[in-house]
Amino acid sequence: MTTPAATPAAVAGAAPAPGAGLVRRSAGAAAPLALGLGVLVVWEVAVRALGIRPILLPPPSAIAAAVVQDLPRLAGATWVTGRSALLGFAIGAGGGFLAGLAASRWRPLREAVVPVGVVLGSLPIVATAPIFNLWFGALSIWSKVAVVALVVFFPVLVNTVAGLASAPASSQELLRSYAAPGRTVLTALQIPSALPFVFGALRVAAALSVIAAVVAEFFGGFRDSAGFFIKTLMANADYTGAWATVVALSAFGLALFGAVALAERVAMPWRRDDRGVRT
Amino acid sequence: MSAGEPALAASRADAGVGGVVALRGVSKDYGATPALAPVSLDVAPGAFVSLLGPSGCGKSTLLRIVADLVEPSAGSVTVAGRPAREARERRDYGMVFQAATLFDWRTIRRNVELPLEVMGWRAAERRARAQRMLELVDLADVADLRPPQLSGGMQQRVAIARALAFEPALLLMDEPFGALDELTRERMQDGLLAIRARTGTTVLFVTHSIPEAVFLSSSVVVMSARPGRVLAEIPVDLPEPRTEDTREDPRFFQLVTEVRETLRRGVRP
Amino acid sequence: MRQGARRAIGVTGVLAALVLLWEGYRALALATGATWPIAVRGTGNAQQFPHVWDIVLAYGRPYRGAGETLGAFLVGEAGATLREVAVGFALGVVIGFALGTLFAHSRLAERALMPWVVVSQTVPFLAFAPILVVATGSIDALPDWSGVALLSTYLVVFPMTVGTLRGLRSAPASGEELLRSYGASAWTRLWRLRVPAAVPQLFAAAKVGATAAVVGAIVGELSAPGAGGIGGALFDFGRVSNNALQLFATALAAGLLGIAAYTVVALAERAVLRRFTGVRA
Repeated sequence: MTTPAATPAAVAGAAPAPGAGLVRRSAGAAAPLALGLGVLVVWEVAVRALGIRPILLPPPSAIAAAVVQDLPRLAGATWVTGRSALLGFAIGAGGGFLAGLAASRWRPLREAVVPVGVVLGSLPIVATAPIFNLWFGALSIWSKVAVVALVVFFPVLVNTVAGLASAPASSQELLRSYAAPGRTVLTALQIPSALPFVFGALRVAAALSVIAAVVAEFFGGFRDSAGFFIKTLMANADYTGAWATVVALSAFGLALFGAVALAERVAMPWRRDDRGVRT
Repeated sequence: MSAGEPALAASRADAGVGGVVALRGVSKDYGATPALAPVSLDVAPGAFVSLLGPSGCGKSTLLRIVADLVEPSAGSVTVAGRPAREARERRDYGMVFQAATLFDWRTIRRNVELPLEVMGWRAAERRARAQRMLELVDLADVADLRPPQLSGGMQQRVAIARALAFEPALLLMDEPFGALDELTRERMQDGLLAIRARTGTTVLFVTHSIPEAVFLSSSVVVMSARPGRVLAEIPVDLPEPRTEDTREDPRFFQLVTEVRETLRRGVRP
Repeated sequence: MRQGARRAIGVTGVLAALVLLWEGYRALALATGATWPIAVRGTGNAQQFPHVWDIVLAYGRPYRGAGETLGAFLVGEAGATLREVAVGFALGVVIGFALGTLFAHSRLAERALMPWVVVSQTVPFLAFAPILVVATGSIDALPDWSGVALLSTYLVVFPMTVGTLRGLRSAPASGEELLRSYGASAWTRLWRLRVPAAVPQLFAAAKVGATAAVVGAIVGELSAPGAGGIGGALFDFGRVSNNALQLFATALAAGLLGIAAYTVVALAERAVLRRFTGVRA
């Protein structure tokens, strides 16, 4: 609801789509791909023709060359940052979901958790990074994981609570008319109703987790992490190298996002059907 | 056959005494606002009783009180000879809402199986019963599709199959055809009567359509505007079985006129 | 109103519970000398786990031994951050509104650009912070803090684009047909129907954007050596002083800054709604 997850359709459309509708989708991908290519070409030509300094904008060909040349080191740095993101994502999302389930059991708590969660979630949580460094040490993975988990926790919590309460009143009356026990209402109705909300939050959280991990590293972290690389490469005037590091990190972010989108399709097959073949 | 069956047979036997539904002085207030004036009503076994009235007259509230989904402010409710709470916990009635209220994450077949699952039936029995119910509403060929793939009328037929799946003696229907177009609506009415001819289920039916109430019912309970009270209970003596010809019957029009005039008296007291 | 009161009580309750949780955790850590789930360096040192009230009182204490209090110092830094937030937010709102309006009117633009706008959200753009700050710093015509402001702008553009697009689309088709029947131009239809219809979504997006702008500015500042601001203060305290009390107080100030940015937009929303619809939000 409150998160920028507000565009499930648009986001899902951007995800890779195996199976039916592939032809239509690839036709739909033509316009954005053409635009992307066009932008790359204009960028390359402009940088060369206007003599733009690499400190402002290196040409895409140079960035690509740096990625290829430095691949092992970049992959290593991305993994150092990515594993903090993954671990924090798992802990924060799992914790947020469980806390949401717990908060939903009791109405006053449920009503209070959403506004508080929205406010806390929108605050600059990355500001806690130096505190966690102080606690766990800047050279401990846990100081990064803690920041990521905290950033991921709130959107998942808020959307879980909202999703569990999203089942229409008539569906709840239906199960009441069967005298269904609370556990059945939770598993047969509330959790399936909450899944679109939870996955919306997870997609946002996937992107946030990589961001939080790298920002936590800006406050100090492993010497072989992406965050440390970007800062030191910039300080050493290796601008193209810094760009290449961001590109590698972006690839990891996209992969994580794609994995969540894929899990969403597997977990909610009914969502696939209704925009499908029959009408 | 299953754990549910003997109880259902018992409830049918009990239903003979005092009506399937018996309301005595049932009223409902929301805070200081009365929504429903005291209502007393009996529904005989096998009857088809419609509750008819203007929007907001409390007819849906009355139905929900029978279903024990809403607590009455005063009065007593018995369903199949028992307090409403007990009747709900024993699953003595099936309910159909205005929205089909199907779960998108289940196939049509598994939607029909839902009440049986809640009641702890075994998988093979559930499947067999769901199949029979889908045949009853003529939807066996879409059993493996999902709700969004069906038209509104088909979805509502699934909801009826689901409500009848555990063979309750009483069917509660809350404007089930209210969201459908006129032609579909008439087809659904014919279908409902055909199903009832085979199952003998007692029906309590909420509607605001006068022709629908007259065509379907053995008696029409006409209610006044808020706070709702019963203006009259009009027996419908149209010949059985009701068919397309019934809609052209002069007696049908007479009854429609009678119900309409009773309704108007309720609007201008 | 009654629901509002109940919610206020609930929110206060949750905040009180958080404070209690923290104090309880602190007491447990100090009593047992261990922390759960992860061991904290030097547990048992009370300084690592300041009392909530000590954090609040720290604002009145002198900062680095000089006469200036920590509170006064942070207010000054917050002012610098707010300037970046304000400029970045304003630019982001304008760009987001323009993009959203373009998408609402051109299917081709939406189909070609929208996927990139979405992909842009999966990219860890804040990783660009050091690059952006150095790049803008190399342009003499721009002030030092412009890179930080641009980072804020980036975070504002996405919610504003989506909010504008959905808001403009939310105008009823019948209203559109009515204005067409008067022969109204596309421009008139936009400003007389679609933009007013979009106001609630625009403000919802702006509120998300305002808090995001604060995050962007703080991350930008900590990537810019000597940029100051709340982000710079956090970085310096984290690096140099190792003083838990100052760190907690500064992190709390960052949170308050986020709330302040949100509140400014919420107040603007209330004023606009009251002025144009008479509705009290």
